[in-house]
Amino acid sequence: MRKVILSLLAITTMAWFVGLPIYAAMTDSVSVSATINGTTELIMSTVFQVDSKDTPDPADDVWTDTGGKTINFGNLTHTLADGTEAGMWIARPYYYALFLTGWTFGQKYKITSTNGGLWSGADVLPKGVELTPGYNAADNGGQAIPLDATLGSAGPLETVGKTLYDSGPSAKLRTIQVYIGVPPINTDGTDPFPGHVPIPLDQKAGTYSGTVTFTLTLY
Amino acid sequence: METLRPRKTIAILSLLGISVFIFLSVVDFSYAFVRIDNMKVKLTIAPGETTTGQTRIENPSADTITVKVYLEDWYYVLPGNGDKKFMPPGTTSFSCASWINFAPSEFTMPPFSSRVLSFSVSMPEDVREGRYAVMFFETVPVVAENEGINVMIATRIGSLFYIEPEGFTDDSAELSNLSVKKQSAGQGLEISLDYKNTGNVAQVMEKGNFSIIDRQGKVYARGRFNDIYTFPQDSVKLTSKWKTLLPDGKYDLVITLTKDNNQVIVREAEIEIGALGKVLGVGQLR
Repeated sequence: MRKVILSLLAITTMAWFVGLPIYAAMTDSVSVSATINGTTELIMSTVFQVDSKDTPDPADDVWTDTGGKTINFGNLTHTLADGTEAGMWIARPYYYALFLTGWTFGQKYKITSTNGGLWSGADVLPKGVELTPGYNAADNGGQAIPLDATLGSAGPLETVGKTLYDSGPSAKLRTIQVYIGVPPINTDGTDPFPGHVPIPLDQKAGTYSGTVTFTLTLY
Repeated sequence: METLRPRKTIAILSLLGISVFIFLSVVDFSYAFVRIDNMKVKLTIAPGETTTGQTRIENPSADTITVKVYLEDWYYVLPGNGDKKFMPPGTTSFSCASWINFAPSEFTMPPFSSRVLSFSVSMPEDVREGRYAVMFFETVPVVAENEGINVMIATRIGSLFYIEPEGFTDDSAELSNLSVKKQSAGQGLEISLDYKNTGNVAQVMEKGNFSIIDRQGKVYARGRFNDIYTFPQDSVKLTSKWKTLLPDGKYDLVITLTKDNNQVIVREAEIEIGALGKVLGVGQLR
């Protein structure tokens, strides 16, 4: 047993003396490196159906994850929440929302949207469906929109290459929100968004469908 | 009357956002999407030659996705701030979509999988200018035909192709119409000039700046120009501002433009500033 202990002690002592310079050398020579892959992605959330409760207060809105990436407005209505006539087809109390995140690892990018109309056979809906980008600091760890970035504005869903978000030179990783709805005319009689064309009450009945494509490209 | 929520108060939206953020922090909200590693393919190919390349595609989501790959044309639209117009393949004079071959054009990807898409680019013998295309990687949306209005959602990422003929590349540019004016509001200066792409390839200039230097070599002002993105024969405006008053005197305005291929253009012009920052004279660019 004594031999074993002495042997272990000898080995430990050797290791101590031999190991010290090795350790010292290693502290000088070890290099640390890390690679960030330059991949790019456009992350899209599932679609949320938002029940506005027919009130103008977003605090009472109820967001429900649909678990999918299609939006179905169902049958439209032509009456407002107070029972008065809207004079056009609208969707209430629901609108839809989703989140888009552009991740380009420091390369300047733009997110755009394109839709060629909502069709039922040969018939197309007028531009009464709205698409609006939004920015919420809370979605971005409390960070405000970068000073050199630009958020797009409200407009018709049917559009080609509409800019939703321009990262600017800082090209920060950011999440934006996108809202899609079929709003009525504002109470003051103004259009709910630039380029709004009401869906008339004599619009041909049918199921209207189309695809909105969100595109991420570098500058 | 209900309108879309973005028009409601920012403060209330922020409260809503906080709750959504909390929700997102604990729930994996991401849906099927695609990731690629090759956002810009820049190739210089000898006329008549073929080059090959690869793009790695990943499905980082927990869903099986179907990816559609297709080509379109593109070009920078004026005023040259980087906005692009996408067009059907073969419809612009700068198109190289027909030179690019790849397969397959549609495939499914299991969750968390990746694959490599190989492509080849064959440049015809007679090409003497830059050509461009974009390869889109698009998630195929689920088709919905429910009653009422259906909006299906697809996402796509574009891999931009810049193809230039080896030995025939001309990236020349012309600077003209230099203007230096006192700002209408304030005492600083507004500087602008025209940039014309007189070459035969796309030009990107993201590091333009100016310096205003007196005869003793002291720098009085420095600033950046806007980034510009041009195709051959495009003319765009470079603009910048200097906010504070310069003492009266004669200065050299030095303009330095660095393209993405690291080619540097330097031009100078003499300017004369009078009392209260009034611009008395602007010399020729040289």
